[in-house]
Amino acid sequence: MTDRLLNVTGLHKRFGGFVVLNGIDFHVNRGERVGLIGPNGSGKSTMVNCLSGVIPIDAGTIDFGGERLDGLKPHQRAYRGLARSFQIPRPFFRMSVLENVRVSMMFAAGHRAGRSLSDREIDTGAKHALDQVGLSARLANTAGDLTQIDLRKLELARAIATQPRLLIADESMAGLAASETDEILALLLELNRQGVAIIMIEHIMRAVSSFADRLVVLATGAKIADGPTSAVLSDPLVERIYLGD
Amino acid sequence: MNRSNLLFLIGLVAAGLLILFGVRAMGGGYYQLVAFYILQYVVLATAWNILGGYGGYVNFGSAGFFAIGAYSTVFFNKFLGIQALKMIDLGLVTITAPFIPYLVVPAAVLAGALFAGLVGLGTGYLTLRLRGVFFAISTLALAVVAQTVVLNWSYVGGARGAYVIKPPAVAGFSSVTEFVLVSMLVIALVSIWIARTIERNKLGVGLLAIRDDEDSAECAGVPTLKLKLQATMISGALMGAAGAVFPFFVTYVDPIGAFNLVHTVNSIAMPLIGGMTHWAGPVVGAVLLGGVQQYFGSKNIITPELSLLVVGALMMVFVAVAPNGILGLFKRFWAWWRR
Repeated sequence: MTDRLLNVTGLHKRFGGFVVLNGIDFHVNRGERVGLIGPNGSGKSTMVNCLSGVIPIDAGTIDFGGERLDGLKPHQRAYRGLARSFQIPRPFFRMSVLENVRVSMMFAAGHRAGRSLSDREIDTGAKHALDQVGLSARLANTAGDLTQIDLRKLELARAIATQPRLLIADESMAGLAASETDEILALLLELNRQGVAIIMIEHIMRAVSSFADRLVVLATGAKIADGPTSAVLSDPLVERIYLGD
Repeated sequence: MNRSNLLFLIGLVAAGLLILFGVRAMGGGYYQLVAFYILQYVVLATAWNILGGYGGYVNFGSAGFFAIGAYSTVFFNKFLGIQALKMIDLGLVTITAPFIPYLVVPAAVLAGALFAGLVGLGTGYLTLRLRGVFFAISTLALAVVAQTVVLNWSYVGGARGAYVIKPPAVAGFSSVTEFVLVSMLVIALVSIWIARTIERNKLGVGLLAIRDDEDSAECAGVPTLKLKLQATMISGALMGAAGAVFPFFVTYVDPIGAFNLVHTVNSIAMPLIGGMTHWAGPVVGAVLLGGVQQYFGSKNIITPELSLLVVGALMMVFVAVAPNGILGLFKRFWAWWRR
């Protein structure tokens, strides 16, 4: 059995006349930790939106666990085990923290289980996901009342509750203090230890370098590097384009 | 059936009996009209709230769905020659005149619900990829298109309108009007039951997620288009069911009455004023607003046109001051009281 979980070939996306992703090829192996980095405007967020199905691709293929994903809707991708968090947290603001995670359990986890989960199963699964991210004390809080770090954790809890095989963490640490960054990092590492492959999109290089086994670097819609983290970070082209001269 | 559902069902039946015998005790007549008017808006507001309140998709086409129900009754009444029937021979059973409404009215309700539901499904399929104001405008277009069709369709009366003559009597009821009122009462209670059931199952949870953030809901596994289509179909069907009974009560239907803007404005205003996140919100809104409209209308204090203006002003006040409606105010007061 191949070790490859996600295989993207020739991914192409343009908005009007502006080419955002220009024939990107990359892959993620099962249980792998991949960092996706690049300067602002390099196409990282568009890549995440294309992979999760939030925006359609113009050309290329997305293969996930041996199945073509391109053309599937985001919820169908979630059913197959592809989860994402949003760069700017997008919880269901008027629901409680528990209700937010219950949605993922009810729909995605329920579908993956092949049956409708009982209320008790949904509650147990949602509480377990919230426990993993350290939000057990906030179950009854309205999502709109959470702090930034808790919103980030809630994003991850919702993704975890879908029981993913691959999690795309889109700038989960943006705007957080150093200690809070470490909290999220530890959380992602723990999730990876449980077998979940993770693509981390991040600007905080300290976090990316300590997390990722492999780095993929984008610049102006093209892949400019892909390889072991230390090798990529010392690549002169990456240093010049991404880290500056 | 679990205990909570059983208690709710008992409560609904009790409320229905209370309304029926209350109206009887008050002597029927004008009070039947008031009760019918309010119950009709309980259905329209509850139906609107399924898509608009839970899902956040504002439907400006309520009058269109209502009129589709009303005109399906007009159509079948004429097509099947129901008005002239003295008896219906079903082979094993012969239904005599006083029992014919027991067959005709429920059949009309089912037909109205089916047509409006199918139109809802079709409209939804074409428009639910649109969001926000674009969706709202497209539903407004539905009502305009349907009205244009009816205006130019002479078979159902065209611009002149059409009469639906009431049968002379219904077995077991003091009048045909009372029977029609009870029909609307049953539809209202069924609508409330459906809304509460939706609220507590996957459809309701999914719609609430869609209302807050549709992309985020999709990524959490919510099949947004499918749920929105289901909601539009159920909502349209309930509005159509209410519309199907309307001709039996008023006995005359014309495009101006059936497609009246009042239906649309009230079906939006009532959940907004009552509260949109709970099945009780539209009911509270319909009873209060409908009751006030009827009271002021009967005393000639306010004309129907002015009534619309008042409703519009009330909507603006509630949007600005109490966006969660009366139920939201009540919740806030209750939380403050318990502190």
